[in-house]
Amino acid sequence: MREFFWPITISVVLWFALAGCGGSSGIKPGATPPECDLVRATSGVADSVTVVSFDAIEPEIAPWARHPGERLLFHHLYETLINVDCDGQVRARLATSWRHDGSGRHWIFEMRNKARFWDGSRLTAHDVVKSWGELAVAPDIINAVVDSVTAEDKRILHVYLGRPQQDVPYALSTLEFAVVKSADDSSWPLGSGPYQIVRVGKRSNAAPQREIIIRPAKGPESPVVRIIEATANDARDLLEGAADLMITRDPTVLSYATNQPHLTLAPLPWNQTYVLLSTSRARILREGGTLQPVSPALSNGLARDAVRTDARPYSLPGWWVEPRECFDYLPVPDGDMTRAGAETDERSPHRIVYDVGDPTAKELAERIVALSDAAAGSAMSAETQAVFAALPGLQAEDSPGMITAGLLSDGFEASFRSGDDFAYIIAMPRRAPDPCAEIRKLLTRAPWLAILGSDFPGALIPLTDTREHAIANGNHINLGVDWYGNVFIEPAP
Amino acid sequence: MSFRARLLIAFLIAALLPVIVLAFLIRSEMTGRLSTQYEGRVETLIAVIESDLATQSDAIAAALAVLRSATIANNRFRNAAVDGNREERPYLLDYAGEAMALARLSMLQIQDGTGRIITSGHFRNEFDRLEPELPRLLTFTTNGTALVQARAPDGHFLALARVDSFEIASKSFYMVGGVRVGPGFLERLTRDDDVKVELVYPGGIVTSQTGEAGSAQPRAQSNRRATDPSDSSVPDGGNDMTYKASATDAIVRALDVQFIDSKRRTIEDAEFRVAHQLDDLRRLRRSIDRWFLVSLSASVLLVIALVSWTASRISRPLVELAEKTSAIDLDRLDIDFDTQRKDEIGGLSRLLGAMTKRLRASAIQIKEAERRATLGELARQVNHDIKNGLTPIRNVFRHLTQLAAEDPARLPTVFKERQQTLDSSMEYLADLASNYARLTPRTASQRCDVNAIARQVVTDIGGSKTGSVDIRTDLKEGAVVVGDPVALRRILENLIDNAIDSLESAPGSVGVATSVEADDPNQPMVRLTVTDTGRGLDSEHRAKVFDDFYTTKANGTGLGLSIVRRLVMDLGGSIELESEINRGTRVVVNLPRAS
Repeated sequence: MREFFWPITISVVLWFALAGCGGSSGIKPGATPPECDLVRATSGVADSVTVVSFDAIEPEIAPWARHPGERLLFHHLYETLINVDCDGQVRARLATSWRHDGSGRHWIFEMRNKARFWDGSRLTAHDVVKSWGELAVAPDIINAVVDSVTAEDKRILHVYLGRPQQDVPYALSTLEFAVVKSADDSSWPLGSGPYQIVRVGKRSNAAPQREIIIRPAKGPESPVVRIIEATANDARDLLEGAADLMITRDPTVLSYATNQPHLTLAPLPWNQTYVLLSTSRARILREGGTLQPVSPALSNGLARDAVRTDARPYSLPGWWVEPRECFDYLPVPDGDMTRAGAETDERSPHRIVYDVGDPTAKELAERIVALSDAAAGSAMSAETQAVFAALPGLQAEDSPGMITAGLLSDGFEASFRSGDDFAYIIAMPRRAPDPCAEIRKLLTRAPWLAILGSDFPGALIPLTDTREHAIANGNHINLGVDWYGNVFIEPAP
Repeated sequence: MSFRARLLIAFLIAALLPVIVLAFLIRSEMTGRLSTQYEGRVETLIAVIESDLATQSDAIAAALAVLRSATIANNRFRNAAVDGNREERPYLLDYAGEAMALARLSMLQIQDGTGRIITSGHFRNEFDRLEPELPRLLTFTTNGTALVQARAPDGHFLALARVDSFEIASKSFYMVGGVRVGPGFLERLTRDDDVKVELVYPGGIVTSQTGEAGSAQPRAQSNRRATDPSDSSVPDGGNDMTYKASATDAIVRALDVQFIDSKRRTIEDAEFRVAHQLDDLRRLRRSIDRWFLVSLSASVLLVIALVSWTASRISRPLVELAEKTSAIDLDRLDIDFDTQRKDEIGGLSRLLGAMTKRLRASAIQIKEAERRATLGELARQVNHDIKNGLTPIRNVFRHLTQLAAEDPARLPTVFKERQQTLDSSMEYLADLASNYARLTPRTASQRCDVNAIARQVVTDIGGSKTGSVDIRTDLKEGAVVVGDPVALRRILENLIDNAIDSLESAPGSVGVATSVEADDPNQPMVRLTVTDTGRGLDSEHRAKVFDDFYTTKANGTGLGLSIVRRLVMDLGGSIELESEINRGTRVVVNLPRAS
């Protein structure tokens, strides 16, 4: 034992010394569970859980998730370096420890020693480099956070960030940074998550919808999770039948579930904020004018009656409110306001535009239009006054009024990019793992905002926060949730 | 104006005037009938719209009645709307939307007694808006139905609306429901592209063919009827059908309806305007015009061709007749007016031929009279000439007689001296006699065998003429005429001499033929034909060849053919000459055959 004393002692001293140089010390795995409890089984854990996804799940884009079904599935299949629990605490996952070099730009991650893909091959730092590089499905999102990444060896990973961060970047906990490996015999990339794919195919001859079956990759083999693709029309029927878990914001389904004793309705974290983006506000800001404050009465009223899904008045602060440091580091697109509000002329009614696939945006737009068309001669409500304050130019005597315009996704993005219309309703994530990356994403979608620089938040009027709900059928599922609202089915103990 | 031009004008008038009149009659008849048909269609459509509006109004009323009963019985509605239960507010806000869909309406809003919208089906988030005028004005409309401009998130739309009311717990509620009146509503009324239905209202125009209203221009004149429905001047008519003046490009009729302008708080006039486009009629007219022009052009071309042909058929014989007639004079009465035509021209030609024949006979008589008159003059001339010739002789004889009496010795000498005078006077008289003999040929009238004379002449000339002339004869029996054989001989001698001379000593042939022609059974003719293969004559020479003193020969007198023509005419015949340069000449003499 004596021959091991000094090497061990020196290593321990060096480890503490290096950890002391960094801005943040690693958190050991297993100190607390990575997710918080959402639903606890009270009558034993089921061997099989059926989850409903109302949107098609595409393996080609894994691990990048676009909707709740993909988010739930991919979080079970693929792992990131770190996790953020429901309280916002960073938890170790593929990485066991991390530190930075003092500048906050260069972060060193030590990988978990026993991390393995489903096929048994070892997951190394080189796999992370490859996964974020040539295998990246959403390279823009990765590049918005990470400048470069290198593997020192199988366990040590060097990550160089676009801007210095004294805390470990939350962005590394999102699915875009999950580590995958190409599979030779499948379109599904291999992962190292707690679950692995067992089968992908039709539910049955009578039910042509696709189902994806996954099971725990190690330890107990239950519960097996079946994810079935279904249409929203039969959501309530599914809850009365095969579905054990559903994530939805559909007000009809939520209302139904509220009155059904066998269904457990678990609200997820507020994860979306709807904002009103006004080109007239942007113009005033550009010209150095002053804007009237918008009364919170508008947000309160919208959340109370106008929106049919679970909503609340916008809650401060938003991740976009302090963008100044982002403009020092992140490349933002060149702004052009020459077309901002170009479609708005004196003859045609002003258009408030929304994505036609987003019912909440539609409801908000309609309520704003209804408030702006207040009966002449009657006393204006606080909400109407707030609308006029939020949308300068609307109250002018010669204003042609305002109408809503629902555009298909591509059309909406095109209009939003050009800023042709009077105002836009958009949904933004309530929580941003990397606010600067989100700001960059927003300004890329709407370059006419970028010309305002760090003043662009003045063109945004936050309206409401919304959230999804997990509906569990029966009392035999253990569900956890993380900081972003991702739901996990916990394996049987 | 020429005969051809007059003929063309006459033909054009005769042929084109009926075509033009017919085309105009067809055009106006067709226009009248189609216009009547279109008017019938438009009026039928107006009646259909009127009936449809009534049906829609009844359906809306029935739907509102059902909704009223259901709403009154609905406890959740009562809790939310009357008791103000906060938990039921989402239900209340969605209530009108669901009820509107079930009732198949396009517009439904429920308002409380103050006019506040508590739930709206067509604009869910319009809740809490104050709009007391709409239900109030609807109650003042004639049939309880009117057009209203309903608000929707994406703009306004027109709706045919009614109002119903009910009470819950002593609280009044109004229920305004309706159906959308848009391009689809109007297109449902007509599937004919030529018929356009428009809804003209103070806010604009909705049309069945051009899509949405909204952006339509406002009406130029607002037919406001009442500024306040409580006013006694509220319109009393219901839906009136009014007739509008037909535009030039469409037949237009209108049906009046009432329109509620909520912002102005007035009931105004609107109208369904049905317009039948006259495009078909215009196309038909254009087609008729086109075909009419085609037929007119064809007729004009046909008329021109017909006129040209007819004019040539009529004028050419006339011109020929005129040319023949212009050639007639007392010396040229042998013009041939014979023709095969059976028409008026033929008759005229024959008439001129007969006239020429009579002129010819008259000319012979005149010539005879002239000859006789000339004989007297000649006699006097002869007397004078003879006297002139005899006077020197008489003077010589008187001189000789005087010498014989006074100095007979000198008689031989003086006779010798005066003999020359006697000889010259005698010679003069002989020449005179010879000349007079030539001027006044002896004529006889007897049956002459033309063939015998021809043989004799051919024999005589054949004997005297030399060279390689081949004289051929083709003499038919019966060529007997009444006349002077000397004249006949002179005719033949002249013609055969000319024929031989035309050969100009070159090898050739001369033909002499006789025949009897019986074209006119009353007057058979002996035809004497002399042909040669000589140098021939051109048209200029042909025209002058019978004139006196005209000759083509170096030593000719120019009297040969002139004498021949005169002799032929003296015999009551005619003479024709046909000739072609370098091909030869053919002279045909027709003489009346002796009976």
